[in-house]
Amino acid sequence: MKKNCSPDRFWKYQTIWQKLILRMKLAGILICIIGLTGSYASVYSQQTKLNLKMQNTTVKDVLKQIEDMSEYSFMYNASKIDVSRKINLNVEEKSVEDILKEIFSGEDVNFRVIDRHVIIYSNSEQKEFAMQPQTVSGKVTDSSGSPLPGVSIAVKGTGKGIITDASGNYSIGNVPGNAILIFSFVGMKSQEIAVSGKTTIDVVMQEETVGIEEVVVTSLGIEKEKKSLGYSVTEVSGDNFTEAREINVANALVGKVAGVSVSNVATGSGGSSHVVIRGNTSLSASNQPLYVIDGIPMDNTQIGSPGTWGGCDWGDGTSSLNPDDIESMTILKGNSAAALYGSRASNGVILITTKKGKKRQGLGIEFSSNCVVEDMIDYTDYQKKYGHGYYGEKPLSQDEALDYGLYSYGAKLDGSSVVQYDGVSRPYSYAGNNRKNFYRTGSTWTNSLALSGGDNVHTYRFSVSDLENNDIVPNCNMYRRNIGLNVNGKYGEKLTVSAKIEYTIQNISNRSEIMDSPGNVNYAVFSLPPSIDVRTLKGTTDKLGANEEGTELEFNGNTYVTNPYWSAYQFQHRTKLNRIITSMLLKYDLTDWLYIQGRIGRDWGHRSKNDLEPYGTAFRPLGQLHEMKYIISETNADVMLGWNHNFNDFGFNGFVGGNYMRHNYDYVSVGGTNFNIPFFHDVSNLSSQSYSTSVNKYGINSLFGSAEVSFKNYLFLNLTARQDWFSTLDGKDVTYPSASLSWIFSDTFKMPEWLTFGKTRLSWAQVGGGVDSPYQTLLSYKLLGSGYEGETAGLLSQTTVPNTNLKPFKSTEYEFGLDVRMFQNRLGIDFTYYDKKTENDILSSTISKASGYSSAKVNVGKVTNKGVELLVNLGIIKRPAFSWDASFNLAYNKNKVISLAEGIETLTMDQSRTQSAWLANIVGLSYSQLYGYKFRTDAQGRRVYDSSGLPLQSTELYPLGTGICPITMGLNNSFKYRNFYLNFLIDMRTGGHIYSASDAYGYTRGFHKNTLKGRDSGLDVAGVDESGNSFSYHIEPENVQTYYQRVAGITEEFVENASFIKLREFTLGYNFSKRLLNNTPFSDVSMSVVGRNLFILWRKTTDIDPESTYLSGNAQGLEGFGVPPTRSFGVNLSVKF
Amino acid sequence: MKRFKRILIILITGMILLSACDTQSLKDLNINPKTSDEMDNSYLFTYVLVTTGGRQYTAKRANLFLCSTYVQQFACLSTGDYGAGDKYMYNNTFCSAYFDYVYVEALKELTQVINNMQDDPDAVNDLSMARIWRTVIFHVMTDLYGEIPYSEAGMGYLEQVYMPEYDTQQSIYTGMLNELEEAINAFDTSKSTWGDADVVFNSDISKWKKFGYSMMLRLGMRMSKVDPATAASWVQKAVSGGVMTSNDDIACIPRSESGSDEYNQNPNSHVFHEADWDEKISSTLIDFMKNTNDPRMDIMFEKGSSNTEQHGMPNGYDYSTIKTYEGLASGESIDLEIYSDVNPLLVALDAPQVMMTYAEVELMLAEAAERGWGGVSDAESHYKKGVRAAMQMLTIYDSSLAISDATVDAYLAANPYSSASGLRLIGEQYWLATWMNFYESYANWRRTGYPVLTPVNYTGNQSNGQIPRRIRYPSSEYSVNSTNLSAALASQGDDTFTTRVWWDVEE
Repeated sequence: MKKNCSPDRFWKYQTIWQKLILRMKLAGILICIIGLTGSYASVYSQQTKLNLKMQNTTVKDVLKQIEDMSEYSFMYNASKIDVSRKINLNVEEKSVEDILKEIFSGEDVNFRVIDRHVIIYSNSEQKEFAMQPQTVSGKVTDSSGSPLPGVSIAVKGTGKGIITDASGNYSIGNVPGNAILIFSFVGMKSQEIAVSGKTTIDVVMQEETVGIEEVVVTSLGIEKEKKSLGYSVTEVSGDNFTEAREINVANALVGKVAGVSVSNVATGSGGSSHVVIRGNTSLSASNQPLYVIDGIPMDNTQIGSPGTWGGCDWGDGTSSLNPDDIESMTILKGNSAAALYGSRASNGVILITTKKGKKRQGLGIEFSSNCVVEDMIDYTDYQKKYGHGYYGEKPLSQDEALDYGLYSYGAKLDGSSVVQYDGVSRPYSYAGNNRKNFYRTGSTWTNSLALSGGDNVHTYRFSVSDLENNDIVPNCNMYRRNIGLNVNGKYGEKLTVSAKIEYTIQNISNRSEIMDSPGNVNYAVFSLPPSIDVRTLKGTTDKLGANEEGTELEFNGNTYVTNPYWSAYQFQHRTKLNRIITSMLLKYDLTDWLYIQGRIGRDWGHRSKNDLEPYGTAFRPLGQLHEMKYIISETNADVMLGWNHNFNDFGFNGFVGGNYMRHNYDYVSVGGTNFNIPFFHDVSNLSSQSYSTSVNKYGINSLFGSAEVSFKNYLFLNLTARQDWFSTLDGKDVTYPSASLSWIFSDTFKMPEWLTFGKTRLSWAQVGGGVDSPYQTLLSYKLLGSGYEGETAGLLSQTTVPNTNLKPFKSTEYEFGLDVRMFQNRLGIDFTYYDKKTENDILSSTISKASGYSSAKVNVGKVTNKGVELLVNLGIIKRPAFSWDASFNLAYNKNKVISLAEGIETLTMDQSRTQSAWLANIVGLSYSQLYGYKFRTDAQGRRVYDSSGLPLQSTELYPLGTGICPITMGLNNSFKYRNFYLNFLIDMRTGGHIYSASDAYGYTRGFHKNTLKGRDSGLDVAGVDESGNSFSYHIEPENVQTYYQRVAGITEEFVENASFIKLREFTLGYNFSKRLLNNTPFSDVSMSVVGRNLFILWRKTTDIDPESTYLSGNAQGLEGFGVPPTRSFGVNLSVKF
Repeated sequence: MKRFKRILIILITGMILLSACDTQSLKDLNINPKTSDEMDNSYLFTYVLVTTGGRQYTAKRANLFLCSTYVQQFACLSTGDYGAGDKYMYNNTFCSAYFDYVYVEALKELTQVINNMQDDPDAVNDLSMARIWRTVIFHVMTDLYGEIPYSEAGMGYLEQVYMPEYDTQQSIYTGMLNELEEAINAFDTSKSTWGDADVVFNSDISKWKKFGYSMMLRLGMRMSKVDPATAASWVQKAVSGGVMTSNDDIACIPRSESGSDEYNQNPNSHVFHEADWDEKISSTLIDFMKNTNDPRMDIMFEKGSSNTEQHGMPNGYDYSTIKTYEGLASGESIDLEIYSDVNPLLVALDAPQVMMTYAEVELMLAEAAERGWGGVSDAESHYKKGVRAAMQMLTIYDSSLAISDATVDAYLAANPYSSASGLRLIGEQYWLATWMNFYESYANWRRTGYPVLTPVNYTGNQSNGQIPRRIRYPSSEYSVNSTNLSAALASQGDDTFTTRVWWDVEE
């Protein structure tokens, strides 16, 4: 540029502006000016000082004057800079900057001095100049100043983007000067920052404040802003499942979500989890929620569970999921939340969202290793004073020792030498804690590796996980391997594709049987008389639990009580699962407000089960073997057309669509009894062979639609409807509507300063359930497989009366909620009240067997559930170095059985092996009532005794309390101090009861401590006789056994309060600081010490864990010889590259 | 492009709507491919015959644990579950077993068969056989419990009767006897039968008639205490109709060792093959046979392995009290191998399951003669025929178990019949002849009081130290069918072991 290149001339030719060459030139200059200010130290401008004295002169002339008296040349746009303004100027020895400052003080004008050139421009011009592409770089940190790698930076409105490197730095080229950059990172608030010509933009990301702008996944995988929802939804993030982890991920929900109650079966590794949300809605259909993974319903079939007569819990659908792959679980608690699932929604829905890859530079590697040991918690306090025997006598011969079985009604332990079951005499004294001596320390080691990444088009995540578990029951081991791949792509502007496959292998050997014997290791271990050491039952050979002949070493006369070592090591209860969960989604944006989406997914599982009672088992000397195969699959396909449009203050969004569901169950079993060749355990060697096959197929076709209208983003009305056509009802259909309203009053009116957010919600919905068992409408026949003596024998295939008039039950729920946050979100309160009514419940009503059938399905039941849920979030301390957050949840559910079938007041659900306690639904009382005998008393409450001084049981059965705790609480505390963090969860349940069959057997067999009374000097009883006269009696010491054995049949003696408070989870961890990791390949390393079920802080039961149920179905409240509870603790390591 | 989109939307929406409303494929999905909606009645009838009397579970509990020890043919030292019958203790599953299983596993199908054939004139013979068999099932049931659901029983599907009412035993007897009469009269030899599907008599109508009349004789005789006149009239009908005439007429279900152990093997035998079976032959039975020098003793029973002679176990003892009985010092322990066991041939897995024998019929005829009923005379001759038949029928178990005519003659000579003690002698022989069908032994003992049994009185027994007069109702009926059960209890009396059934009036 020449000195005489007058600015006037330059700016004159506006058309030239558009010429590229000039534009480039100017841009070059401007970038130098704006971007590199200060770095061009101008020697000339620093050294040149000017003197000027001018009165009433135009700016233009002043500038000209300066040009004349120096080498400076000025450039400016006369149309933008007012140079005709007249000024007075009087300066001496001033630099040109100072002079210009004086001239333009108070004006919207800037200037830059570059060597001898001075550019003068207005602020509005600066923006125009900045349109020129430039490179922007900077560093992204979190609020504590640590660099954040993996933050995605997108240039708004373009496909352009980049991700911060391991040190949180980024550099993005060719960014228009007026562009807006979007910084986003999971768990952080997204920020939009205008470049405004800046070339360095450092950003501090702020953690997302929970709730207000939160987006949650709702029914059918639709993401919605949480504030728009008119019903309660709770999201549990994936990190809740990976530190103090559970093998069955559903168990990890314990205590975390108000209104979600979780019970797990006392069965050791790989057992089922029983989840109930907002109480039991159906009397006999499943009350477990529907699990949906990435929009596709999952199969949660249980392939066998223990009951009155014992057996194994063979696991369910959630027991094989990989917790490391879970991004979050969203719990749709009420009918409204789940309404779009129609006939499958009555128990709520748990939506599982899996982790997906993210756009980033290079390959993201995450590795975690979790290693815990598990120890038995022995709650028992059994008697240690009296030994093996009967009526106060020690066994005198091996035969007697066997005949006296498991009875501990012998003589006082005196250390004398007494013959035992194996003919060996041992000291008649306390042999030690048999539980401790039998069970081992268990362990679980999980290793997970995930590789992820992505660019502008694709993202991917590949994960492998390996879990090895040794249960506390000897010889019970499990391994689980999960491999998953998740790929997402966005092709062009409109097409989104995602696909996912997850493959699981889970092998479990020798699950423990529970409740009844034979084959239940726990039964004998818990029942052994104190004078017998369980370790002697191993026998003397290498084959554990066997005698010299290799058959079961019997230790008592009742062959149905199996030697626990024989059960553990010689029985086989093996399962192998191969499961593939796949899904694929295609979404196409037809316009910017209308899209169409198709999705298909399948959960396919092959389970094999191997059940061996080996040759030489005492109760079945020739053995028995069954090999079973199950193929269970569920396929779902849906298509939907959705829209999202705004008109002024109103927003409209919604969708219509259809779903196709098919559930298949295929089962084959071969097996039989009696092995011909001893100890050769194959089906071919069975002398009596049998087989069976069965199928169970059903399907639902559906149409659904959802429409939401919003006003000014503070009032939302949402209506949904779904129509289901059922195969199980021969094609009949039912419609399920819902309506919900959400009002953010804090956005409507001006609120006091302390109220950050306030919302009320109101909803109503009708959903259904209970029609997933096919073939119930027609009477059908089957053949007796083996025939009879060459004749064909046929029978009716049902034991339940077929019913052609069956329809799904209907559950109607009103829900009201209030969500307020105060003091900048330091206190959040979320309150819900619901009132749910189930009508036309399908009762698998137990009917009189004299009808020829054992049950009938009838649409008659009525149940109500009313309850409150409260969630309080507290940010007690929030300092950069230290924070303390607490979260408290409380739920109370009042359940009531309103009516059963006509004329039926009681519906039996289950029965204890003791045959003296039942679970029943009883009209007017809450679900799953313990039902049994009381002591018979006269009108004044005095106990009635027979002539031998034995108490009589009541003539009728009485309800003795519900087996389900109506009140659940959870309190989670998390502390952070610099890089340390500490979390612990305390959970409480109260109001329920449990019947302890172990205790009842303790009375029968004499190992319970209560049976000590009277053994020395007899027992005095007083009450009335059967005619009502007062009665007293002295029971001789040798007869106290008969007394306690009579009491063993009286239910109320063994019904205990099942309330408890447990320290459920504990995590103490350390996040290695970025500084320490600077020279390592790691971007993130954390280590923690973790524990689960560490302590029971309060309980009312005596010898059992209040949670030790053996049932995994609707009936809850019976205990009996389960695998003892465990506490687990260990370490967790998580590394990211 | 816009048009294309519109067409796409319409197409997809249309497809969804169409497939959702396609109810036919849903209907088809609800048909179980593993079952059939039709079944040949003969197949069902075979099944009913096989499951009558319950499978192993029921046979073990009701027949062996309860009835056999009540009538002191077996004994057991156990004070636990297994000793419940021996010591008159209450055990819910033992008492429930017959009710809970026989209604569901035999009567359900039988009711369906009878319903299927009801209006088919060509199936009249098959229908009659089914109806006669119906009384076989109900007779045992009502004799065990007293009042039971009868007229409304088995109607869960056909009439949606889920909670059947209980009928009085009197009306059940009337119903059963009328049914027998109608069924027998309806036989028509010109019509077809279901042939081999009848595994009992191979559809031999004449044998079915004899069996039907023999059942009528049994039912009629059962009312001897409560209503002698009616009893006599039914005995009269039975005799004139023609009852069983030889051991060839025995009604039994053949069994086999192969095939399903639950269905093909003898359910009564099965328990003898279980490892923990610890019942022994009762001393009441062994001593009785010893006193009469019964030739059956060494055929039916084998000596304990540590004993040189037959030795029965007394009822009502436990492992402790037995020592005194056997004269052992308190420091010694009992050796169970001194007690007699059953000859394994009688409890082979393929042993026939006997439902009714010719021997019983002759003994009942002897009783009829003693009572002067039905025009029957010569009690002694019928008695002798009965004893001979009972002794010689053991060959149905194994041909090696034959007893010669001479041996029978010698026995009869040594134990002569006398009219004065006729009822006692008949009752005792009936007790011996109904071996393994303890339901019948127990019912006949309650009716006749013979043999005279000394009840045990074990501490904690629930029958006031008396042999139970019936068994208690299943607890499931209390929780499920309580209204109807209450009505039955009001009519019959408390649900105790001491309450007597209708025909068992106290004399």
